[in-house]
Amino acid sequence: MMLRTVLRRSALGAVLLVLTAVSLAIVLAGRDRGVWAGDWRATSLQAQFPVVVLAPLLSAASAQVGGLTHRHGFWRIENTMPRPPARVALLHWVAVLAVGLTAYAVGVIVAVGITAAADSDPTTSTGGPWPSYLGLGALALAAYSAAGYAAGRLLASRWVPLAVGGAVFVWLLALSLAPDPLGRLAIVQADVFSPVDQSLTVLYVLGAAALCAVVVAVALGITRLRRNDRLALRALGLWPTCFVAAAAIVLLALPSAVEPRDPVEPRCAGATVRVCVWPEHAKWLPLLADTAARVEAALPGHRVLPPETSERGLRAEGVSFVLAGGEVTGPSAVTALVGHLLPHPPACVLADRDRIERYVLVLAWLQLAGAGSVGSDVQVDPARLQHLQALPVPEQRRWVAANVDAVAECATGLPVEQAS
Amino acid sequence: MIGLTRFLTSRRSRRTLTVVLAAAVATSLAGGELVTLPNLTGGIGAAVPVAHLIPAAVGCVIAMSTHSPGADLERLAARDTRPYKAVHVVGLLALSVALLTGAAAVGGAPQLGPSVAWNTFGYAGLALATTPLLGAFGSYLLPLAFTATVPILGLDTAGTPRWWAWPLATANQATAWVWTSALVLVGVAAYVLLPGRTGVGDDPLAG
Repeated sequence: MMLRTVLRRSALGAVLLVLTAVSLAIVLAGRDRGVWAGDWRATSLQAQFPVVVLAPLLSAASAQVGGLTHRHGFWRIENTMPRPPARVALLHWVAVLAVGLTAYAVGVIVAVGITAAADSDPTTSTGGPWPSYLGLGALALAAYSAAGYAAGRLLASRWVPLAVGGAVFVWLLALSLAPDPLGRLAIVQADVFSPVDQSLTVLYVLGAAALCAVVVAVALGITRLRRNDRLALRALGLWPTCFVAAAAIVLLALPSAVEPRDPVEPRCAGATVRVCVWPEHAKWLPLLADTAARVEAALPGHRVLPPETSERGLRAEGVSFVLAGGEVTGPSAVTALVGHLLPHPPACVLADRDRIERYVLVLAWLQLAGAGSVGSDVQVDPARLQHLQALPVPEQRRWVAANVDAVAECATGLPVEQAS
Repeated sequence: MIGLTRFLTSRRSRRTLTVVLAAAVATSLAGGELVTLPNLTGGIGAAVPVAHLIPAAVGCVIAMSTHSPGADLERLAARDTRPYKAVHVVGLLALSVALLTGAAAVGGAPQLGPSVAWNTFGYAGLALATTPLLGAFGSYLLPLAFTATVPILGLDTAGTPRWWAWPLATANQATAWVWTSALVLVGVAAYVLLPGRTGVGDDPLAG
């Protein structure tokens, strides 16, 4: 009842509209829907993604609501009303958090609905939403909102909400560029392009939950204090900082935030080359199988691909490949499938001009053979490619077959150049 | 004239001017520095000059300066306060644009002048348009939402700014000017003509 009163009297409804619009815009327009629709894991990551914008906005709004105690003698009302002041503070925080979680939930529901529609066949279904990713987003919102609320309660300045929102935005921006251990402190793990064979560790999820719980407890503990500078300074002092720092250190000290997933029954296709992928990538399987057959047929008599190739993490042995994040196209499928022969060029290949030029030329030729076009990420010299293509086809094949196994192996000498 | 002076005093214009001056100093010192905003869609991130980010804060400051401790009394005033409101925000906007573009030139990046100007107009327009709904001190909401969303949605996969992403625009200047001019007109009109929403005092978010 009181919560409803708080929501009705304030303009939090307008805030809810803005946050919901942001959440929906990021879910629907943030990334190509073809990448995540139908894939429950990617959908869960995509649904968590709006938190990177909702967190700054919600923390700013929470700071503004928390600052109510400094306006119009409201602290006197709080301290003379029949209810404990802490309960009033808790209620205000719950109201603003409810607004943020509702906006987040709307984005989650829309993303889940899209994938449920694309994954409606129970025989090929890849499961359901991943609670670890979705729960992490909700925890992060609670922690950032509580921190903002506490800042608003402690500091009387009207500029606090803007400063808090800006600071959280910069914090998330900086951590998104930070290396692994530091990046964990953002409590946002929403990279839809993260490898499919990895999942969050239970320890990381528990650690993140503990950090959020400590932040919320400390922030709400601060709000229990009366409006008094001396007490506020004490609240900002050693003990709360120690609690939060300890929880953060535990999170940073974990060996890893992710771990390899247990293998599942893969989806496979292809006759000449059997290609197996994680169920989440089943939509790319026809393209991969078709591309593998073309690549294999391009060099008759020379085995480029093994009889069976699986996506990384599915088989303990044998040749595996990794699909780069994003939409799988013909050229990117070729790059992934021949990755065991032409991996990302190591430093010794990059340092050898002749070797790197041949590397790029071989990859471009295979992409043309397997996909009919060269990917935009392959910076091949057009003159050299034309020169190679001008040769009779058997000559082209001979040159590619002679180079494909050698260009990425720095210890292997390059065959004598004839084609270029 | 006395009325206008008192109006500006009630808006703590000196403090606002101090903040705008500080923003101008920051623009002159670091305006040309590039900050790479991560493109969270997996594509190429945009390298944005600091001078393009400072107007977001200045826009919010301009809108927050419209706060009046006596807003309820002003509604009952015999004299129409709308001309004062218009002079206040238009003057502040003009002064801010002049100071920030001048600071960019002083800092050795005169080519950033137009983009600094349209960013100031755009963010101030967004913030002013929010004031009737969320009050002066809730006016940061739309500019903050836009600033945080643009790096995510504002670039296509090739790293080119989309047509609506005026904070990232460098070459598509005409579109950016059209967007931000429209925004500042709507924002000023909304602030001057619409009555502000009140909750507790003039802090509607506080309920």
